[in-house]
Amino acid sequence: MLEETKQKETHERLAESKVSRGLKLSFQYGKQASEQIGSRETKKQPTLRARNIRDRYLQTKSSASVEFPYWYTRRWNELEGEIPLVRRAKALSYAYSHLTPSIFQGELLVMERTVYLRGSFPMPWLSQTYLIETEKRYEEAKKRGLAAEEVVKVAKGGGNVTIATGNVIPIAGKFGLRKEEFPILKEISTMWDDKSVEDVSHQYEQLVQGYDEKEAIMRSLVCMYDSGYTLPQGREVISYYYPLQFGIDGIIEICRKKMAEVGGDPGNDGINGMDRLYFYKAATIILEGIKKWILNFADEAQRLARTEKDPEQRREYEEIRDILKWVSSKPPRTFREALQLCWTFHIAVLNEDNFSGLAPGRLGQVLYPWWKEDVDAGRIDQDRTMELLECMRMKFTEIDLFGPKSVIEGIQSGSTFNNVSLGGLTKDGQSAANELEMLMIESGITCETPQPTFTLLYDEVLPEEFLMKAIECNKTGTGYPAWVNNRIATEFLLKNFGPEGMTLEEARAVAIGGCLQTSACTWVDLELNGKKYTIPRGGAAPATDVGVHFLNLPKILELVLFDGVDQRTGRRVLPPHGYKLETYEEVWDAYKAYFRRIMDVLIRCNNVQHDIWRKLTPPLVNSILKPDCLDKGMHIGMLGSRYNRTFSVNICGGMNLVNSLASLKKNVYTDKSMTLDHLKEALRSNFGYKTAEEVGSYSLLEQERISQEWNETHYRCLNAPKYGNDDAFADEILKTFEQFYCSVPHEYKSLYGKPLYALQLSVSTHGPMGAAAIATPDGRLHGTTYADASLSAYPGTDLNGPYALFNSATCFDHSESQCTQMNLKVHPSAIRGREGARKLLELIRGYMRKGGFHIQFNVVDTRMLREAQAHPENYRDLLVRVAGFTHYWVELPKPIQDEIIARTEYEELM
Amino acid sequence: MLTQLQVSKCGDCDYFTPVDVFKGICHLNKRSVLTDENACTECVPTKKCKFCANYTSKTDALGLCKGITVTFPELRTRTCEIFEWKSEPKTRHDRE
Repeated sequence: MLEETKQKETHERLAESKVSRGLKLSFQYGKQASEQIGSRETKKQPTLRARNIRDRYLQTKSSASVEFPYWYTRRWNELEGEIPLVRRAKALSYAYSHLTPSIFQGELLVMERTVYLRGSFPMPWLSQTYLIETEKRYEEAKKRGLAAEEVVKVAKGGGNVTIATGNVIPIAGKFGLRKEEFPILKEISTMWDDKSVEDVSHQYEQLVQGYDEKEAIMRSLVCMYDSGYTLPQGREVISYYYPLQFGIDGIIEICRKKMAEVGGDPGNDGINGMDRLYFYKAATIILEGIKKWILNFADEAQRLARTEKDPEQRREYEEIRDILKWVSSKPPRTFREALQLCWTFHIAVLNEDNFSGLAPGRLGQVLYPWWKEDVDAGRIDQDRTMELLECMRMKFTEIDLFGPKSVIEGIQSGSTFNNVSLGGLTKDGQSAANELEMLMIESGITCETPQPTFTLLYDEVLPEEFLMKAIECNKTGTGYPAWVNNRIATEFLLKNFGPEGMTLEEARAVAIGGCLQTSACTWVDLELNGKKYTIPRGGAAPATDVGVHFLNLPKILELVLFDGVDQRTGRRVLPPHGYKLETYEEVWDAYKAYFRRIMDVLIRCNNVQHDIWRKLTPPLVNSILKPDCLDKGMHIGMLGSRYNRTFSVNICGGMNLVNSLASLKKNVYTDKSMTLDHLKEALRSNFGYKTAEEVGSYSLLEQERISQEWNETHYRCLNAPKYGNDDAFADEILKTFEQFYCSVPHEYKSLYGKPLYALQLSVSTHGPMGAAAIATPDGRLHGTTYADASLSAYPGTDLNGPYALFNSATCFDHSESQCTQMNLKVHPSAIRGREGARKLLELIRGYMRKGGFHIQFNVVDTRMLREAQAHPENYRDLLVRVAGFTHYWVELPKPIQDEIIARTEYEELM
Repeated sequence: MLTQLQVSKCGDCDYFTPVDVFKGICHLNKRSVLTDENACTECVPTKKCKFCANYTSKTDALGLCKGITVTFPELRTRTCEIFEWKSEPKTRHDRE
């Protein structure tokens, strides 16, 4: 009833003057939901062990540690004059080997990034200005790449630490830091002043032509962040192959042989050939550090075993000790050892750089040989497998990422995007789904946690049983698995990496990196106990999602309409465009001109940042693992990866742009029901409403009108054609936009000399990006959150059902860009029972067959979300899908919560 | 000297494993305890810079390692190769 009342009030507020004509806005589609809050159908419990670990996690606060930066900086300072690559390796190695090990009762898999369970740490060698918020440097940084700090909201619930309590202070918005560690953090941060990637790249980007415009663009949040010193890596798939096949000692031996082979020999490369020696040396130094790190945990297990009175727990500590000792040097023998080693290298990579979205990839296929041999030998059964998989879920959920709040909260809402891909095809085009993946899905059902999230690589050949298991998982409401069209992913990879030699067979190794980024992988033959297996090997390309991120599309339209001046701040961002805007075509031409102008300067500044990054903090651990860095003797930054076309231009607010263009075209240029000047004035006046910030609510659902003057105009804007209704007028605009946007990045080159590509997903940026924009011609109000993702309809505007939405979404070729993204909020009753499950599967199939790349679901009753917003204390473990990731509701900022509440709820799927 | 090494809070105890910045687990009694909780009679010091012979204090929150390298008293040093107890730590075994 609450939802209906809210909706009624909204309609009354939004359309008081013209109710009789009907406002085309509805936040529910299909039949009326029942009066009871609908519960999610699938609900299972984890094993007792996992339940205890999860309970502990849910009471744990996000904690910052200074250990790693302390030891890194200490060693770094001792090495003045060392070869940069080796200096970095020695500093990293020292930091790994000095981390304090913590092991927690009940764990089967051990090791954390820091001494804390949910720990993370700053990397001042990358960026340090945001760490001390009282410093002048922080204020200066907010005028550049960290401008979003001023509009980003931080959730106060869950594990976030937002207020000082006792000896704990919050830093960077949401991380708790022991008060006694603050002085050393300040000391270390100061040591990196003028030496960090942020500072050095800022020094050089100022030499780029048009830099002043770049600063104005960032300050006005036309673009959200600089990736070079905030999230230089991630949104990619890790490769566990080398440790699994050779063990750490085996990799060190490979490096030693390579050193002997290439030392003093430049090969055919007179510029970089000699660097190979230093790369291999650096690799051995790092691996020795990681080995010591593992052995420190083995010692800790031994220490705990000594004082442990419970014989069963003591046995478990001793077992952990033995496993760690073994995998510290040798390749794993069992599934558990293999899982432990994968986890160790996963966090080893996360500790070397600021990664967001390091995906384990097709983990169930990578680990299958160990698991199958354990099963065949009677070493493991289904119960033990489930226990291990649930423990794995907890380890990945414990990962936390430190960074400026504009990035960690503004972009990611605190998510870390450790995506496991399921299904897909084998090298020869058969179904790759296996029994271990079925159990992985089951563990995602029994042990609901945000990480690792799942993506199912959908292909028509996948078995029905496998697909229905995934649907059962969707019914938990956790939002995973996301469904990705394997055919479209493969086509994208071939278009993108074909010129670098990718074949169809290799494209089939695809996995998802980060939330939804299609990532190049490969195949490799693995030998275990004399048997050969062909497994997917992740990470054949570096970070998929670096470059220009994120472009605020409606904000660019605002600049077009107001001739280059930001209406929120009153500052000029771009020079006047010179168009009179007398026709719709002129508006579109001006838009394209501004878009190109913005891209040009942003790409060049971004290239400088990433170049400084690769020079000052070269990626080493990730490079050791990735094909073909160890073969070439080159790290990722030196094009050691097999494929290197991975820089992109990412966008946000696409559907608000399309709807706004449709409104302009319809109201101003076709019907001429208002002049452009009149519309501009209405936008400036926020259609007579208070701003979202004033109201404290960030969707259209709950806004307050203070003037009746713009009622008619607002009504026309809201009722203009909207994306998501199979409406040719709006869809043609989307198609035209996509044709432009998907091709224009190809005209620009990354620092690796490769063309960029288009990338369409919002993560959480639709919150702060919307906060930075005034009202838009589609009727959206000042400061409210944009539509999420890239192909989700704006909440309340998709009126004709899911299949109409699909028709709109597939009016262009999805393989022309890296990722498109669609979220659908479905009421649990719409997919209840086996019939409901089949309906959902058919819906997904329908979208995939039409050429849709991605779809995912929030299976939830909106009234439950409202209840959770009002009483968060009762919903600590409620999970929802945001935009490519699942997260705890209580840890989502309000602008995102409001947007999810407002999303159209599908009461039926027809 | 022994009094310098006596543990005043749980966070200084070797039986304490930190879970987050507020609390940790006591491995003796399996309880969740606050980091700043008063130490019990069973507590024994864990290795931290402030308990190390190489540590000299500069301020309350900063000091030097071997008189040269900046460090801080609360740094856990179980993994440090040059850690030396300022004096013999009181152990449970000693008390028994």
